[in-house]
Amino acid sequence: MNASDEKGLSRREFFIRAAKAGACIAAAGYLGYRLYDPTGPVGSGRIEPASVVLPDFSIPELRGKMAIATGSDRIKSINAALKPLGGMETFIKKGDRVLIKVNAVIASPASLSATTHPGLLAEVVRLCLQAGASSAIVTDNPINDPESCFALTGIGPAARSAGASVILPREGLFRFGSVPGGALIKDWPLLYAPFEGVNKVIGLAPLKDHHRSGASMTMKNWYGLLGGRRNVFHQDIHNIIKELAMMVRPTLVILDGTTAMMTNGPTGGSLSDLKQTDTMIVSTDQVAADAFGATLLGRTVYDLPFILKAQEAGVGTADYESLDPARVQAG
Amino acid sequence: MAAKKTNPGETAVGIAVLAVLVCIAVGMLIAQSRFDPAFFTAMTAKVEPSPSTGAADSPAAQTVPSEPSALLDPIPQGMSVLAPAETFNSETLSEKIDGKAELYLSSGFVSMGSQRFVLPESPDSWIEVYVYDMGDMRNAFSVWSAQRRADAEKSDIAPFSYSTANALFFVDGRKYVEIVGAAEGFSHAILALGKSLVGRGGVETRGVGELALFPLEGLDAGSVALHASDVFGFDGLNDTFTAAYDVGGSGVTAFISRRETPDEALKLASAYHAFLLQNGGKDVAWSVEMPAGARLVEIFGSYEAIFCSGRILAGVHEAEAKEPAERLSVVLETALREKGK
Repeated sequence: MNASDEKGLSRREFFIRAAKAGACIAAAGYLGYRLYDPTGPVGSGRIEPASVVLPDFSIPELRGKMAIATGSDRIKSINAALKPLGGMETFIKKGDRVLIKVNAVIASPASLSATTHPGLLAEVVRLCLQAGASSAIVTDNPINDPESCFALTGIGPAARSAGASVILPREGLFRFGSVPGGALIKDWPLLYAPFEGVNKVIGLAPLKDHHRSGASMTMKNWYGLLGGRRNVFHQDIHNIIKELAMMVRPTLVILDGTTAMMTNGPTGGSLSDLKQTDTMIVSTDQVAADAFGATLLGRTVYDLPFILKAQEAGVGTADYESLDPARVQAG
Repeated sequence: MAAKKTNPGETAVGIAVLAVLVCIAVGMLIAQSRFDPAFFTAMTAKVEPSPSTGAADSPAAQTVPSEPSALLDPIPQGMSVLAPAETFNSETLSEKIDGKAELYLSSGFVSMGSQRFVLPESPDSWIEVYVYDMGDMRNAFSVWSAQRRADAEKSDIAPFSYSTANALFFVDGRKYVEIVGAAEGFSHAILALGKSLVGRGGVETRGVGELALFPLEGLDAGSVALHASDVFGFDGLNDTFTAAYDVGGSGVTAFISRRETPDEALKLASAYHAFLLQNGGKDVAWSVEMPAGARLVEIFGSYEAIFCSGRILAGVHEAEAKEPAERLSVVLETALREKGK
């Protein structure tokens, strides 16, 4: 304010301006007071999150299908296992949009068999596209840095070279999800976005020992869809696997028992943890697939309580022989 | 009163300031319209590893006492770093090793550092080093012995060490070290990495003296293991050494658990005996001379022996027949008594 302004400002004008300024400050203060939220944002309770439930991707008329192929070549084995079921065309039709859930849990080389084998993944992608799928998406939510996991396991390059797109987890892809009837998965962050727009889901899991659950197979493979601090569920591992199996009703599961991690799972580390079990299991019943997989690990369904829990929940049957699985020799 | 006329420069600055304020207000309104408080809560709970350095970027990981930026300094000749060193604490360990974290967490885990290295001649493969700080040597021995591979070859890099086709595992003071090659054929490089790490684990504060208590006759020396908890499925039994024996062609496991006092050993023996009976076991009379209070139990066709020698609770687990169970019990009880003198 210069000298001429001071000269021109009357006392009356000064009080009017001061009153206006005071009114503005008071209004701003009142507005701030009204908008102040002393508790901050909350995830549940005062504002209910919109919880999602995964759709059912199974094909009702194909329930209870199972095939077991023996052989050391994964490519031959998966084709041999699918053949008696009518080939991939039985499950994937022209125009289908397919999501393949792999196990890319850690940045471990394919040679250690802790993750989905990239060669097998590439073949499954190829078979889906050959059957007429309009798109194939590969995803997982690894515990390590996702880019490293997909790169170092070979899963990312294999998927892309076979014609699939890879979705790496990031914040915007998670939604709160629940399992109807579940006790553990309630409004829990799920890697949901990759499921949007797809109409077929395939689980592609390696066969592994697991320190907590006893085994990691097709049902445990869905664990990778959980976000948040999911390791808290390790304290109730068998029930969380059961609920995961209730949550995801896939079109097909593939359990790769070509090389099984027999000990020190789920991460292993030594080639001596592995054993050639030369078996590929394809099934629309994930409980049956895991029940058979248990035998390859030298275990029974009684050693792995999540199998019987999933059966009791109506997910499938642990009595895989009741499905009369096709047994074939690959190549 | 004559109104002051602003010059064009002041007007332009004023308009620019107002425009910036309007942009900020619009941005805030857009952000607020997309704000999902539920998801906000989830993401504050979720520790999201960054693409560049993995879980070590998480706030929890950064609370770990810092390891050097490179796990090894200097790096052995002929190797280069593939990825920065990562550190994990008890809250973040499972982000690195998934479900196996529980094994370490139940055995006194403090922190873990890991890093990948690559050899120029094999750029598509790598070697990963894991250094677990287990607090003391006893804990380090426990996790080392719990994971011992069946076809492992003894390594001379450390008293408790072995190698497999692609890896080296050893105890170094309070540290348990794993060096894992992505493929076979890196044994020289793995050994070089191991040698550069040996001696960094500090002086042992709590050793594994019980190893010397096992009698040598029939002992499979590579089988001795220390179990932290839930030994033989009994949650009251912890901190227990086991060892495999060949008794006249029959495989039998012996166990030793040093307790704080003789009275505590007796109480634990009684509790374990009761546990066996509750689960279908039945007492069997000894055919050999054993101290008072020693128990022999038949359960599901196998035999379990339980006895105490001072502070030591000891016994035999899952003997296929009564005779080898008794033979090993006598040998073990005699050894404990003589070494306790």
